[in-house]
Amino acid sequence: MKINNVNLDKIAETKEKLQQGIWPEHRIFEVSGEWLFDKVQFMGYVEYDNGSTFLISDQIYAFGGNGNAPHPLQYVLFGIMACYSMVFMAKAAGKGIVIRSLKTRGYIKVNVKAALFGEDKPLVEKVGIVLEVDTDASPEELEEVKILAIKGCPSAYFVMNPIEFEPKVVKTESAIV
Amino acid sequence: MKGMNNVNLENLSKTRESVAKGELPPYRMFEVEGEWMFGETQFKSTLNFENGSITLFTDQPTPSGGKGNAPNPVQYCVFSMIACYATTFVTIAAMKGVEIKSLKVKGYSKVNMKAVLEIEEGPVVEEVGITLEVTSSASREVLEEIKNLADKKCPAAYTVSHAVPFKSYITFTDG
Repeated sequence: MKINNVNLDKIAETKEKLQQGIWPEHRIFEVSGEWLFDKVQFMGYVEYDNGSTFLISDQIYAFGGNGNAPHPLQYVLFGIMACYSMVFMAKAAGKGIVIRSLKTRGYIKVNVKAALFGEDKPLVEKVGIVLEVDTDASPEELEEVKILAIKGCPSAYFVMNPIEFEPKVVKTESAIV
Repeated sequence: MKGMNNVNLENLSKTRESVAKGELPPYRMFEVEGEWMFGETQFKSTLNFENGSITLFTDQPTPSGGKGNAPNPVQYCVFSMIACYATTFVTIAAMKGVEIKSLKVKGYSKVNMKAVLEIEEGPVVEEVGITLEVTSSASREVLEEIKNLADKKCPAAYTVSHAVPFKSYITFTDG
């Protein structure tokens, strides 16, 4: 059965496989990329089921970039909004709630003084998302779906909880020619 | 010096000065809009930047109810995190006069699918990791010092390693 462009049969199948231990309970999402010395600053490579793509990012002029691609934080926001929208739609579909349209707006508020001068305040002050929903479901039903979406959304979890994050630097030697 | 490591230090220095003088606001708001799709992918947004715009699509893999026709949102989050961290790292290096000859980055996020699908309670995301492979004539100590500063100054790393207030609202439209 498919509701809201979400295949519920596949989700049910996945749940069953997870419960039976046929599927690993953790999924690792990996992405690699490199710094560029050209018109944009960074490029990443992402593979998915039916293809692959390159993503590029660049700082704005004022922060030392070239303004030739989206800023990394625009991708952060896009990732959070898309993830949250997907979990919201899947949870709604799971409850048989048909959503006729969903528009999503999001924002991230960054403290520039903390970034540039090390001001002792939170670097990211808040993240917000507004879902504009067209449906026959009641506000109470949607509120219930929203709560489930917050609980089940990996990107919302990223934002709301401190996660251990330990970057590693590996120094490579320049090739001697 | 105008640029180093593909970072324009002159522009950055002007911005620092303007923010310090109060000519530029101390906060930056990043805003994005998107919509749910009912076709081959599930969600799309157009991101605008100084010299153009780009439309991004995302889709869940088939086991999670999508069709696998675009990267999934967590992949975008991991990309954004490595891009943001790399940008912060290289910018700090440039500000310190450290030349980076090459930088390759790998990132990952470990997601607990049982928690996502409500089979069990627990952290939905268990680990986030990033590895930078740097070619530079700078010493390991200097690179480690840059890394420690990047840990503190990268907004994406901050979002992962700290609890940030997250607000979500629903508004209704008439069909």
